[in-house]
Amino acid sequence: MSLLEVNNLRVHGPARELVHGISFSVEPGERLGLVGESGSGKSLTAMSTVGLLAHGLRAEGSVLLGGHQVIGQSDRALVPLRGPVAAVVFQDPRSALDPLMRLGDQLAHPIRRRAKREGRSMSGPQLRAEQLRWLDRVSIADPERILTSWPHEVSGGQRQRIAIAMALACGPRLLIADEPTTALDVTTQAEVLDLLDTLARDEGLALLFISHDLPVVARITDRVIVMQHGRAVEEGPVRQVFTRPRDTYTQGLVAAAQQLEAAVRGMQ
Amino acid sequence: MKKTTLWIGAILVGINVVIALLTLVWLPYDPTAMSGGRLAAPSWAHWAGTDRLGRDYFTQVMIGARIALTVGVGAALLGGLIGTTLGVLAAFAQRGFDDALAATLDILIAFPTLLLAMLVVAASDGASLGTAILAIGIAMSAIIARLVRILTKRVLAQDYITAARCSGLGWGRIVLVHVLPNIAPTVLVAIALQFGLAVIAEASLSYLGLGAPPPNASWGQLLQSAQSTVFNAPIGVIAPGLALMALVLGINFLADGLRDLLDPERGAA
Repeated sequence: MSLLEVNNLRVHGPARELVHGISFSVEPGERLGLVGESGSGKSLTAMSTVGLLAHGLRAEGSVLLGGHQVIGQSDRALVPLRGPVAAVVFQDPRSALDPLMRLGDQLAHPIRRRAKREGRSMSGPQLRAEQLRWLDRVSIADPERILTSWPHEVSGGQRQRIAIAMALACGPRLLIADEPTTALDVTTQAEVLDLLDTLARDEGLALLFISHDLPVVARITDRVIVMQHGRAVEEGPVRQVFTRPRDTYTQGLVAAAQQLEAAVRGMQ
Repeated sequence: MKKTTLWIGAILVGINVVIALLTLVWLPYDPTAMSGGRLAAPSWAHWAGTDRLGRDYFTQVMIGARIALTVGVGAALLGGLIGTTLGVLAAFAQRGFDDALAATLDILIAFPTLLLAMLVVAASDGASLGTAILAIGIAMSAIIARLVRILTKRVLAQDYITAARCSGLGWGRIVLVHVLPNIAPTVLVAIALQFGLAVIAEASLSYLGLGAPPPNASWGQLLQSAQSTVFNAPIGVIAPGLALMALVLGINFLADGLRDLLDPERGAA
């Protein structure tokens, strides 16, 4: 059974349809990329799969997440599905963490929730060990200090690592990453990508990776769907799509990425 | 850090609080008994002179501090509680309820507090401390609710809320864990500023005879009764006026200082 099965998903805005029927599936451990320009509907598609559309947006069609229908379900029914099945990491590391809560406390929330779900009790020293273990998993230096720091005291890259740790601490089988590296500088971006790559492999996570950045998607995913104006214009293994694009829009994207690369080479 | 305003505010409000508490256990004179000549000038025996009936005026101003603070705190608690609840509900509500609530709040804000107070007094047995608190509290709750609604919406739009929901946190917990702590600094400062306005509103109400009835004389009432003798005994207007000004100024300084202190970017560093 697929971990995520999306069938003819449509997203309606207040005035018009924003995603016009998209279908795909993610198998356990598989890494799927959603590529497209801003406004192509890739984030809406991803958020629909966990029933987290913003107010005023409505999804139609069928989304089976871990075998449960998501579309048309009440929020209350979806809460137990989220976390154990899917978790998200977002683009903006500034708004990814609660500014008024110490980092250790924020990290403790998903850890405690997971422990409660699995019927374990989590006491002080155990919780602390778990917190430190997760910070270590996301390669945070000086975890002891980070636990008592405020979000504004650490860098964007560190915040994104903590957001990833919080998402993974829920124990999901699918991680939805919505442009997780876009707001970071290039070196940090590479580090966070490596981290996601390693974590996904070690935890056996499936990945739904959303980005407009072709090289980033090529690096981390196996399969890719190219979206434009709320439609999937091309789909296939990442190597095939980026080396032999069939659709004109994908050809344009690839050509633009190549031009950028060539320009950088030319300057060196 | 600019903490001077916070300290000045704290001292001004502190003096008022101490005096208000003191009046519960000790007064220099019986506020209802004649203790000197009529309209006596300030002296060592009577720091603010005496009123038309020869009662010590300073005692009455001291009692006024208690009335002002009682109404201020009561209205701030009532307004803060109702306002925060309504605001959070509105932020979560479906479009129809949200619009209806927003329109109601706008009407309530446009409605003069004094008129509202008269309605409350008319609807109840008569003017009392309770009616003043109720009227000012309701007026204040509209302003707080509008602020809380917009602040809550802003917090709810943050990624960490969506991430928390995605990790399986229910709405109730999200409000308690994330929303309330994040809106608290701004809401507290707003309530503190409204507290200052509530003290003025109470003075206005009792000036018009819609506040606490005598002998629990509030500053507004003292001002009103001293009005006719303002040229013979100006202290009758100056004393409660100064007291009112000191308290409101102190509250505003305190609110300003609080805002600097509670700013997460500057305060926690």
